[in-house]
Amino acid sequence: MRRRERRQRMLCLRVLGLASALAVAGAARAGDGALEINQTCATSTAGCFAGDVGGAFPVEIVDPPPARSFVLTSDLVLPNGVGAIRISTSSLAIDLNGFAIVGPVACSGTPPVCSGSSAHGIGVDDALLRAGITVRGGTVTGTSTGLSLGIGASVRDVRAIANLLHGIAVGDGSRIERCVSAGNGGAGASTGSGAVQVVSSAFCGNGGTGLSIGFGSLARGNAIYENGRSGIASLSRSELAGNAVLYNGSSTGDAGIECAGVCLIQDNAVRSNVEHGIDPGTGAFAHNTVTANDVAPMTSGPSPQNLGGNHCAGTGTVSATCP
Amino acid sequence: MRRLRSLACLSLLGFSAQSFAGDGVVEINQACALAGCFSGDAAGFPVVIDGSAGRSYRLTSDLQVDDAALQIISIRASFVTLDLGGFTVRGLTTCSGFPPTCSPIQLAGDGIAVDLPTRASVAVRNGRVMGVGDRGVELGIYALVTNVLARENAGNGISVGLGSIVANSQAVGNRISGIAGSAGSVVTQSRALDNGLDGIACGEGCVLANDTANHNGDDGFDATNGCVLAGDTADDNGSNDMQTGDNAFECGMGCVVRDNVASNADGDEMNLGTDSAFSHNMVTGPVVGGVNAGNNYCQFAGCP
Repeated sequence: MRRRERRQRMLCLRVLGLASALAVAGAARAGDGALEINQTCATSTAGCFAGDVGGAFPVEIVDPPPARSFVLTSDLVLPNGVGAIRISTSSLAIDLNGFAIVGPVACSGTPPVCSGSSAHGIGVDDALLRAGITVRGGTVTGTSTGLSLGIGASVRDVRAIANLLHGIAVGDGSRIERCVSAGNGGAGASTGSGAVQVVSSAFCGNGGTGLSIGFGSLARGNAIYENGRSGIASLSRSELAGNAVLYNGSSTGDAGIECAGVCLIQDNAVRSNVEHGIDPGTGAFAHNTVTANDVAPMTSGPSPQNLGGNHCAGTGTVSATCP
Repeated sequence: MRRLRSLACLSLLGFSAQSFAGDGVVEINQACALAGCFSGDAAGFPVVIDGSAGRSYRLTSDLQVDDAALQIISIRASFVTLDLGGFTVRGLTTCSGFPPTCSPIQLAGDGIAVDLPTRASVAVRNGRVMGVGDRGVELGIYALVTNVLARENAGNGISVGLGSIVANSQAVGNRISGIAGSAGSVVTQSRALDNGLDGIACGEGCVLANDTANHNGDDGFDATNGCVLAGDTADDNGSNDMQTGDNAFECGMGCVVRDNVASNADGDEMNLGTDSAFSHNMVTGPVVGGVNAGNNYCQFAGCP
């Protein structure tokens, strides 16, 4: 009897040991080999993996990284003033795995008024140096900028909601696809001066510009709705095509779509924006409908090339085929 | 015996009935649905996700209700992701014929639905919702629906709120509309077939791109002001004789309608509001309203 009890106790101790080992192991791998990031390891003294100091957020992914593939295995709920994941290396992927990064920032109203203190939800230490970061499949809310990922980044199936500054910030050569960025205090997405692709995404109710993109970018098939400043603001040599751009802007100088330079602006529905419909710069525009905008369909200024198929209507319209 | 003892020890260590997949995602399956899957979820249907067990969930079996009046999954929190894991959420309703007639119709019997339209950023992906008494998938604002098939439900197949995305999804044989989006949404690479009313409908400022809507009872595509309809195909829509004005493409004011194929609609191939422009389309019947912006081919009638 005593022998059986002793064996039972030993078994319990073994299970306890195993559980403890699992809890404190430096790096846990998901079934697919990706390194796990979760609330427990993020706040444990051991950290999530090599290079992560541990004890508190943010989880640090340093150079060289302990792996190139990471996966969230819980929500990450942040205290004041810090972000969730800080990356000081390049070429890695983070699968949010359906989980949410939840910071303390709160936003309300349209345009949103945000308060609270946080760092970027997922951020790189040097946006001009870090390259090739992929983030997919989850939510980032209540942080400073939701995702701040550097150059050559890829963001897919992410919802960036109600962050203090921008929803998504990426650099030259990046791609944003099937994302929702809404209710953020700054821009829905901001990409600096670099060339990016932004496709099939929704940017709604942000305090700043819906989508702010750099030289040589492509914005196609996006819904840009009710943002506090211009709907799409692009630097030169970009193509802005097939977007629905409604109810954006709040002050002089805003437009549904604006290009600072030479862009191709085609196939967009630009309607009911607070100032002008399109500020086309000196590029070309074709097959847009520019209607019911508060000031005028197009800004006056340097003459862009009307390639035909445009339709303008509403206040300030000079020609139904646009100027 | 030894395994039982281990389980007893694990229980002493504080492990609960809640099951996690290997990657931390909370599991939902038929067995746990009957007993209560996790905190906030009582025994039986609906499985209630209130967010207290986390925000990422995955089906690990099909789910089937035994009472058509019950919702199957009720989401009562924002920022939740539900991965259907390739499984099916199935009700007791059957639909047949065209336009589909379904029985029983139970207005409380949604498949997967939020409790409030203000629930934000809920995602549903990778599976099927079939035969439920009302709406297949009903989500709030800023939602994301990908790779979902909503089939033969008594309400809409898939409905989403403001600023949402539906991508790579299908709605087939639902009694009401196939896919219904709210303002500022994107529906792309999706298909709506054999639904009782509209194939794909959307509010103001939507983008409906590279979709197919065939043989729906009312409009193939029905969008309101300031939408972009591009690269879509609509064939044989409007055959629900209970409806009038059944068109392949219908859009309100200030739309862009481009690069589409519209054919065999019961009503007009395109019925467009003031200041909507159409170009580079191929249609086989009447176009009413809108502005011809060129490069259209209108078989038989010629383009206005």
